[in-house]
Amino acid sequence: MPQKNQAQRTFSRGHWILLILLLALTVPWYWPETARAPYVLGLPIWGFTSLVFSLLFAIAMAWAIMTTWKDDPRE
Amino acid sequence: MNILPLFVAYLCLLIPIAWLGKRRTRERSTHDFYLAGGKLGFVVLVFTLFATQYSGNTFMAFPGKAYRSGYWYLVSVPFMMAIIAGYMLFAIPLRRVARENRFVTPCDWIQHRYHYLPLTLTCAGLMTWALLNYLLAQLTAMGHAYGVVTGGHLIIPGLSSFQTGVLFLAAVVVLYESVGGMRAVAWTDAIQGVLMLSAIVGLLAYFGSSDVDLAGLPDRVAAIDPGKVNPPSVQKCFTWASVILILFFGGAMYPQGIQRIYAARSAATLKRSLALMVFLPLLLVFFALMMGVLAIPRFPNLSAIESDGVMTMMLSEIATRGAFFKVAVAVLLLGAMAAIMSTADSVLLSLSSIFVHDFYEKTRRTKPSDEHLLRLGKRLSWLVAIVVVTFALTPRFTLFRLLELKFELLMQVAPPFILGFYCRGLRGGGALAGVLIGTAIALTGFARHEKWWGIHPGTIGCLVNFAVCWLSVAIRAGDTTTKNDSDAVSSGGGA
Repeated sequence: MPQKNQAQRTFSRGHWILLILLLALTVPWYWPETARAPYVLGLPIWGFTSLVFSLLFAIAMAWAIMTTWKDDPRE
Repeated sequence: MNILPLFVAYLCLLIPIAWLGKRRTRERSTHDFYLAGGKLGFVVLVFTLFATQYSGNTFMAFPGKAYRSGYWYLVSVPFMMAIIAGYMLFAIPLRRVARENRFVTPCDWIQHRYHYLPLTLTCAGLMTWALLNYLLAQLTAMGHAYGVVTGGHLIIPGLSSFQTGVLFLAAVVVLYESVGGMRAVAWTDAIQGVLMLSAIVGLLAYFGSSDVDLAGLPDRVAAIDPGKVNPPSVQKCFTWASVILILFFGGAMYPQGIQRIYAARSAATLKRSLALMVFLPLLLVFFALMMGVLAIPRFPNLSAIESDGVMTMMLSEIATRGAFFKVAVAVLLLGAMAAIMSTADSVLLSLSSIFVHDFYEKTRRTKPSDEHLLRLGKRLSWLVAIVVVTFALTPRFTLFRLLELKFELLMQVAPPFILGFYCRGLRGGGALAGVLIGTAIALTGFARHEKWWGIHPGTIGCLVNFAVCWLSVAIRAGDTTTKNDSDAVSSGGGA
């Protein structure tokens, strides 16, 4: 059975909404099928945008981990 | 490219590592052997988590897939990050309960939560299948890389370079894994991590060289196949989202990854490691992806199986561009070889622990001694390696196909594993029904080689799996309410 003292289980709802939103924006669904140019860092613009949202996702994820996860004083 | 002396030096280094791992043993227990006694510090933990996620698949299969798919394979960057997000669904409470109950395998949690052996064994079976597939992929990658690393030397008479590589390196891996346990495995992970990271940082300079002309790369790729540069269609966007979900749920169920959550010295160590890990795909996966895309105009018209070797083709070419790149490629090749071996050893260690701890110990009426379990685990490592080597010697699929099959089955374990923390009403029977239905959907789709609306059958299976779990809770809640009502009526009638 689940432990009764599981006060802290995971991120808050706000964290998850932000993370899911950023992850959804890494999927290039919002570009027309012929949108290639301009090219940035050898990537078509839709690919570069996806990479930027991946970076933002990583930053949000690291921030959520470091601020949510409390150290266990017994360790 | 011949890096034989470096490679031999690396193999020699493995002997003292295995010996040191054995010497550092604090107690003769499975907890100490399979989890290093839960004492892995930040640096080693980062590298061992790194080695768990970035393996032969990353450096051999990913460029091949990017070669075949084009820029669409940028999906690999967010999907590798999604694994860490998946961990965060359960890592905090799991670590707490694992420390309190000295868990060794992921299925220790399933058994602890549900007390239902059929569910525990089914989950252990799915994890075993995924790990066997993963091990097979690593051994196949070892065989391909061996010829490149040794430059055609050190071949057993009568065997090909591929066969020699698979046999010889599998034997080396089992030897040091069974002697040094998790400590030896984690330390070799650290060495390969340092090699890989330093080589990739060095090789990023290649992308800036005039030979590459990064700015014109999309046009050169488009001249061969415009579909590899255009934004994905709606259906391919569904596939992209589906792949992210597969890794979010399936990647987070890597048994060896979960065991590293157990093995971390403290929560502080673990959270710092995961926060750092989430950035690595931007460097490593992006590098692998660009190597595959660069190969499209360089080596057009390769077959699917041939394209699994585009990384080695590209590295051979880069090595001719000067002394700096030659050294960086040599270090990367050595690091890639070490990565394949270190992933194989992690998988083998995890498999051994599941066989011994889940299939053997949990089905015995009397608890066997740790001494007995350890002896058995080491023998099983050899047996598993022998069986998988025989399969590896006859490769049939491309590496990525193996990877897909693994995750689509592994993600079926996620609903009972994760809901165990959040859904108090979920019982073993309902969870097992969900796992079986989800697995059946994944297997049916795989056998028919089809996706539905661009979504993998395993993803649909996992969503149905979640739905069945919730449905079982709802039905049970309804039954309890009805029973309480009828109890109230009958006790009222009695009065």
